[in-house]
Amino acid sequence: MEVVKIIGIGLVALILIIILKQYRPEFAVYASLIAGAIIIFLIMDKFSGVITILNNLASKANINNQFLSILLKITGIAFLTEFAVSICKDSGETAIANKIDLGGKAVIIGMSIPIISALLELIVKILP
Amino acid sequence: MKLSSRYCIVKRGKKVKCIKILIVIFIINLLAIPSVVQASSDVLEDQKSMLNISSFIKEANKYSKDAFPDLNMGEVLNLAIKGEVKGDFWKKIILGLLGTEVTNAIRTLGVILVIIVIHSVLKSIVEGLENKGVSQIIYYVEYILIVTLIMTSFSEMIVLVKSTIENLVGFMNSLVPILITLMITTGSVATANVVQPVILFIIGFIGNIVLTIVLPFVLISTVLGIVSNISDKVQIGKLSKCFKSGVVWLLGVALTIFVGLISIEGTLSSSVDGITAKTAKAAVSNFIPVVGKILGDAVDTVLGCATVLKNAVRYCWCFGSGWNMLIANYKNRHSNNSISFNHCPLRDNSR
Repeated sequence: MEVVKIIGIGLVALILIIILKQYRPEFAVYASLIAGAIIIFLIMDKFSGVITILNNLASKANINNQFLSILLKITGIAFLTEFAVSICKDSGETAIANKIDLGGKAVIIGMSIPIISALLELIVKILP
Repeated sequence: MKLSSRYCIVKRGKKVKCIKILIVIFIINLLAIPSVVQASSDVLEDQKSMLNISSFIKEANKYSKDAFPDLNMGEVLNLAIKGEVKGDFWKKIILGLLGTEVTNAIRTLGVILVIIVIHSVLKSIVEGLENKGVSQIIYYVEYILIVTLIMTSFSEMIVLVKSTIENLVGFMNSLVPILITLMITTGSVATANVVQPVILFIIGFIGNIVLTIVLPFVLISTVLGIVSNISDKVQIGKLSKCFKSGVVWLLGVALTIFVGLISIEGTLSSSVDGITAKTAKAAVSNFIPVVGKILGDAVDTVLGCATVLKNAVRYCWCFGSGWNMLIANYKNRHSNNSISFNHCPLRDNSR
């Protein structure tokens, strides 16, 4: 049923935007933003289920929780920046879209630095 | 006639003398047989205390105590002397240890499987995104997880290999003097003289080779393998393979040298010793009249007891060496249980 909801919201937003574009084109962006936000919230429920399953798996396999949380955070950041970037591109602001993309990449690299340093540390520790 | 009758008398006298001597020898033998059977265990005990085997047993117990507190090397030695070595006992312990090893490996494999499943789920989510760096970083994280998982047990293994080699060398060094004394007691003088320096030299040589050359090369090859798998653009996997095959080659050469030296020295000196011991026994039984045979038998008994003792000590040696390796696995099993991923290096960074 979730799929029907998402499709419905998307189609309603599409019709709204088409109608709005004829009279007040500046409001069309708001409509698409709100529709995107609602769809994201709907998806988040599903994602929380997936994340709990992954967490269960990881705790069963005795995997370090920090690695998994970093993985999930990186995925989430990538999703959110993608969302913002696509909205910016829709409204024709490619420059800002690029800036957001850059910011997202910087944050992801900042989060992954400890992982890379962990690998380096491991290698140094193994070397005689 | 006269001459022949005199001859007959002399002959009869000689016969009577012979019969008398035979009876005496028979009685002595009758007395001696149970006492010889009795004596062999006494001789064994005497030799045991004389050759200071109890100290070796103490040493051996020190090595096996950590893993198997209820196992006594002295009992093993006694069983070996009596020839009542029970195969089931060893089989049970070895199979048990191997079984736990296999279950351990399966557990590690299961963890790796879970990581791969997580990876595939996340990859399917991330694949549609424009940001290609994300999937690369997720790959990094999973790679590090798997490498850490394997490396924790690998480094444990390396430490264990080091301690096991040191233990084995120490064990051999504690045992070789006793074995040499036993060899000299059994008459293998030439073997003892030749083999002792060769064995001691080879043990030290191979132990040092493994510790100083083989292990570092194995570690370097592992590290190169890890680094070459991080990205497709770094191509040093061949170098890692080269190191690995070099190590295998080196070990093969060392083993060949060891086996060759031992077999050459062993065959040469043991044949010399066999001749010496046989000559000595023949001299004792033939050149000493009347009691020579009995003395020869006594020499035989003592030599046989010493041989039994030597073989029992060798048996203990064999199993002591195998023991050390088994104990390494045992310790590994115990430390594996205590390793969790909370010991990952990441924790230090987040602090």
